Amino acid sequence: MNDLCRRHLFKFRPIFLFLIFPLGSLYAQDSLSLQLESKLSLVSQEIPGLSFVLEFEETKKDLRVFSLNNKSGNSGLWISDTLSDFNSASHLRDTVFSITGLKGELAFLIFGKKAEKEAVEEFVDNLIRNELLSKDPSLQDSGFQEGELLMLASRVNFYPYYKLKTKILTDTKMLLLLATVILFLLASVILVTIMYVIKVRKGKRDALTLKFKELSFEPISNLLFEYSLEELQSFDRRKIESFFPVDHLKNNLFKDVMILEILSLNKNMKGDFKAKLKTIYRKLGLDTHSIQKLSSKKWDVITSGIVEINEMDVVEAVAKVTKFAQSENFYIRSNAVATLLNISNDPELRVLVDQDFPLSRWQQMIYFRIIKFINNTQQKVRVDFLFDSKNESVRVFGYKLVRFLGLFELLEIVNEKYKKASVPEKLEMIKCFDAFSYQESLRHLHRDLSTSNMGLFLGIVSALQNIGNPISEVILVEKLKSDLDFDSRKAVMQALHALNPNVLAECVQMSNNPEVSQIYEHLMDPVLSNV
Amino acid sequence: MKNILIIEDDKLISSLLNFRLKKDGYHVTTAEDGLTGMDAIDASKPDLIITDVMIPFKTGIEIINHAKKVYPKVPIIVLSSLGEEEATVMEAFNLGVSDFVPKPFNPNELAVRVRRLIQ
Repeated sequence: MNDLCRRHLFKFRPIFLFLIFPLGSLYAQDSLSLQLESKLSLVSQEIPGLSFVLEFEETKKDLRVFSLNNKSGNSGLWISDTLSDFNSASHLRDTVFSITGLKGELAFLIFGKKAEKEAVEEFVDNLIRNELLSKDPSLQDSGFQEGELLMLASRVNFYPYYKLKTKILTDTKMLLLLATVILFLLASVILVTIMYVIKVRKGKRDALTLKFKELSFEPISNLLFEYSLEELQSFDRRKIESFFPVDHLKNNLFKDVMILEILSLNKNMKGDFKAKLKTIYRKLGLDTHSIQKLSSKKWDVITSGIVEINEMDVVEAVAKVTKFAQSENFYIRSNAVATLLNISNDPELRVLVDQDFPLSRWQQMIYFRIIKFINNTQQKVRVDFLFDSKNESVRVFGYKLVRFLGLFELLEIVNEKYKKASVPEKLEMIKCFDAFSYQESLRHLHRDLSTSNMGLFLGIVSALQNIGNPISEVILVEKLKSDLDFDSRKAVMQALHALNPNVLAECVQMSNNPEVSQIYEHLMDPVLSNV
Repeated sequence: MKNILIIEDDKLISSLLNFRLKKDGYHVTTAEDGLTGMDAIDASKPDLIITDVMIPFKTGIEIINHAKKVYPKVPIIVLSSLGEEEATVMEAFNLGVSDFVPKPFNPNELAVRVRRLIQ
């Protein structure tokens, strides 16, 4: 609706109001008349002081048959006699209307004087209020007294209008509430039952575990101290089993307890006791139990199976453990890779090279310990194979191993790989070059000083501080002249100070930058230089 | 019969040592935590004490302190996986322990040390 239309409507508003107001007035009059008539019909008796006269305006018809009088001759106003009963008056009006179609008007007279409807209504209300009129005499007319009615009612059986059952079933909110309460109760009962069952089972399991532990102490001690390794190896399964309670040997919990005890002892003992424990483990067929755990659907069971295979060197399980080396579960994957590194006898570290998942620092620490052990005690591992992995974190781990295992013979390969390496790899390579003071890498480092990566820049400058040459000094001086941030400038000045303090002093003299002078003073101060 | 007290929370190790030392003819008493260990020191009058460093309720150092106060001449062997914690080992030696056996250990080797100290 646009503004023009609105303005037009606004102009016509008084006209609308003018039209609506009389309608409201008419409706009010009608409703007053109806109210009054219904009240009078309820009273249904002669009201002292109140009488009625029926009036019709009609000139053509003769209404004398209805006992109406034409009082003004030809003027056409027909009037009834004064009627004291409202019902008689209204009956006469309705009779005339139904026969002639003429609509009459009731005039109200209070003590013989014509009165308005409002006055009549007030008059009737006053009479009712003062108990001069009974409002509803219908009960007295029915022929029963109130007491009789109550007695009759008491003989009739009570039937509720709405049956409760039906009401509940049809009330949606009530149904929803009931369903929620029932569901809640059911859920809580189920939950408590489950908790109780779990607790009872756990209690039983704990008690059994304790019992099995007690049962396993003596046979294990006996086997470890009474027999030599050769004797144990010569025993067949039945002979070894004869030391243990035969009834429990088929029980999986007993097997689990036995494995845990053997693993615990294996961790705390050295010498031929380790070999003896592994012999007992194998002779009792516990290796099969560990391998069976790999078929479980529970990740914790699989992980414990893998750990047992790793600790007890179950080499024949390598193929089965290999399946878990790419598992999405971190714990399964970590333990599987660690186990394969330990027992697969693969110096090429294929299980690491082919890893799809990035290696976490924790995993790197675990794998490093295993690789270090293998490298020092068994055979040289081919760390260089890790450099060709498609996994960046594996390549980074490879460069870390070069540094940690002191594999300086691989520095040439690392130097070759530097050019195409990513920033994280380069950072690790630079640490390698720095650790071994590998001067051949300087060409790469000098070129990469123009990098926009601050971490890489600081790493290179830190390495140059230890392995830099006169060319490095020149490049660093040029860098110092350029626009550097505070950290970079400080690192460059530290490197120059370590490489050639005279060159740094000259640079500071020539520089107009107050920050350069402040850093220099800081570096020259024997107290602050290491802060 | 010589009396040996083992204070070790790992029940398997303590029962294994119990078995091994009994085999050599010693009377062995075991305690699984620091409090029962201290009570056992007072009650059993041991000829030698083998104690772990990491045990519940009390530290091995507290046990050694207590044992040295009650029986200053009783030899003590400290058994612990804290082989690399030099400070603890040094503190134990300063308190007068006779020997330190790091885990993993060989029970036969420990039995030899026990025999030597008791003689």
